[in-house]
Amino acid sequence: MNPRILIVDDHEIVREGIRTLLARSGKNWEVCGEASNASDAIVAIKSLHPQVVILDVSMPGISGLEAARLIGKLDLSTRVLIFTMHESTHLESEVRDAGAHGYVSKSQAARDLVHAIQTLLSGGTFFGSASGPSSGSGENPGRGSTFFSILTWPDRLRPRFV
Amino acid sequence: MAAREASVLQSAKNALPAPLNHSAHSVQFYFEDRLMIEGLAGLVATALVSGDAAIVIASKAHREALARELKDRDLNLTRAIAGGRFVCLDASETQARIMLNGMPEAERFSRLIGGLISSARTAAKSEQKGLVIFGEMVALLWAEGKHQAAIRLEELWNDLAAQYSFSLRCAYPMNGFHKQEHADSFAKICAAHSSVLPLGSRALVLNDDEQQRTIVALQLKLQVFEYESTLRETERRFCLLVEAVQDYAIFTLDADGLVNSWNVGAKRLKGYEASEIIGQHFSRFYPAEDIQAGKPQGELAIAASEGRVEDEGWRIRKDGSRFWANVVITATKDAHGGIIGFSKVTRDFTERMLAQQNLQNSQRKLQDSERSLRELSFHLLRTQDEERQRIGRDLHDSLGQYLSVLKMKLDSLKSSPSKMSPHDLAELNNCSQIAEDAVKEVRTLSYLLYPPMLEEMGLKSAISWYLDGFTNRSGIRTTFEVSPALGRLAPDVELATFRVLQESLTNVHRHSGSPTADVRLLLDDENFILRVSDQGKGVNLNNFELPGQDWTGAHGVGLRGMRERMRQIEGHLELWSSEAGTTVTATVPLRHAAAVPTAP
Repeated sequence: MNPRILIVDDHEIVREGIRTLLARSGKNWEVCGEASNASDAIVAIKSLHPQVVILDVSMPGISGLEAARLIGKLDLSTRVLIFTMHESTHLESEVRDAGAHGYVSKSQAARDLVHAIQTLLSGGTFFGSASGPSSGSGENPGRGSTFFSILTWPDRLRPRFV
Repeated sequence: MAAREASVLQSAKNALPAPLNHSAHSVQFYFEDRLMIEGLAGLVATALVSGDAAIVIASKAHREALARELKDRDLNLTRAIAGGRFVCLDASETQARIMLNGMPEAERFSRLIGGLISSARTAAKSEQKGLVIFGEMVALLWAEGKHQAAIRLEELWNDLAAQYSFSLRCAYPMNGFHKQEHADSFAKICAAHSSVLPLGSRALVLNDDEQQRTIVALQLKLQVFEYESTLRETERRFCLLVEAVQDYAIFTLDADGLVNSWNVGAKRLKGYEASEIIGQHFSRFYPAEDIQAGKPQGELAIAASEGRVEDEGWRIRKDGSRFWANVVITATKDAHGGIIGFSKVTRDFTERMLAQQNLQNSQRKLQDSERSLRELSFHLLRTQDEERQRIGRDLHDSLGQYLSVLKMKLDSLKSSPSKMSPHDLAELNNCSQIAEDAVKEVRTLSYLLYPPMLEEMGLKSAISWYLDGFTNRSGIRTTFEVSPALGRLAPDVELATFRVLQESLTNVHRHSGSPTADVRLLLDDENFILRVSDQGKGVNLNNFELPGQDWTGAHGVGLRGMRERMRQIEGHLELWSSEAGTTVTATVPLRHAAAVPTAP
């Protein structure tokens, strides 16, 4: 039985693009269904049991990340791949927090999508390709979210009250 | 006090008259004319009855009083005068005849008075040809301030007593000796006489002890008199002052509240003449409703128990018009604490009261304006947010998607097995790159307008993304630290916080010159806190608070907007600045900031 894939995006043209990409990949994957919002996606997952869900983030109603949490609670073996236009150094942790198994930036779809689905199908996770999402900051703000106590505020920054 | 008495005694001893061998020359200092005249009448009556002669040189008033007093004693003055035994002369006329260049002249005095003495003695019917003289010329000179002349005249009398035998009495009104500088002259006058008569005394002869006591008593009386006259003068001046005050109504009430004094200010303020209002009850100054409520009596009662009461309220003028009065009523008490009356000071505060009302009205209007301005700003900010969100979403969800798919398809063309010339392949790569740039551009634009991930992923992701872009654009290095406990917050709090962050970083970039910026998201027990600090040159905080400062003025860009956003979510904004940098702190109470849990 071929691996089944559910495509969730509120734009038909994106869904069509994904279908084309997958069709041209030469893989034996079956696009078992499509949904244009999170609620429909949950219903489809419950009935179709896809191995992988390609999930857009920005959708009307429930967001893709919230949907990923809900899908995780269904206790199915469905693997969730976030497919988003967003790019942020914080994205990875957000995606992980939501219980998804990977994410692909829409602008790198042709390069990463097929590889990412392959990775998820074989039980792995995919968080960005070698080039990764664009990261402008030399200091990666995502590291060490240490609580910065007021007590450790440097003296030179302890300003006069106005 | 003992020292003072001793000193008075000493000066009294000095003032004791030198012993005189000749005729008695006594002096009397008196307060009341009546007592002096009584004594004088006794002296004259005794002389006339016993057949002696009498000469009286006195003021017109005293001569008339003496004549009445003698008539009461059934003395036939007409016959005595006709017989030359009783000579009555006017003091000032007689004085004029003996004066030369302001001083009594010995020759004139001797001729005139000596002549009088001779003829009077001749007229005397008694064997001893006795003569009593009463003289007031000295007192007259004293009263005119010619103290040296008075003392000189006393000496002339003494000289005359060496030639003739007579008994002489002088009298000075006590009120001529009310000043300290009179003390010496007083002593000299005492010294010029053989005896000083106690007040009201009719006795002619006193022993030394009595003399001394009399002088001490007189001097003590002199001091008391001096003190009292000073006091009277002060009182008189004070009364004049009170009466002349125009701007304050100052008047007094008796214990029952009846007006018993009235100054010019009271007349001016309330319109009543003193004659109209004295004796009237002060409640007529109050409006009818206050009288009904018992306010006038109530205020007197408070003044009586507390000593003083102050009140502001409407009062009524004579013409029925009202004025806003500031009133102080003070109780006047006797030595035992009993209320003997009240003093009342009233000022017209109508203008002040109206000014205050105007001020309050203006303040209310200002508050109204501020409220509508805030409502307007709230509306503006919300409209702006909604508009940005709409445009941002449209860009991201529509144009962005199309461009993404375009790039997706171009990319997949590249991996197409079909034959393609190297030139076409290069062009295809170009197209793909352009599509990718377009996607990035759209994403940046939409995120700047309204980061969709703020809603979807929360502040942490949105700020993190924004800082990346900020560093790219400005070259300012950023650090970002988040309290691990921080979760999602209410959407309006997240948006407001994000906007404050944007504005703060824009300020860092434009104004601080700082190479770095530190962003913190903190939690304490009650608050969620955003803190943005730079290490720049600081700002002059005063410039931010200037009235009329535009919201988007060169300095303090968006500061008011930030404050306003915080205010709308019941948070507040603090700006700290020094030469070491600037810190913006936005604090939101957690009870407002906590996210509403999303339904599954």
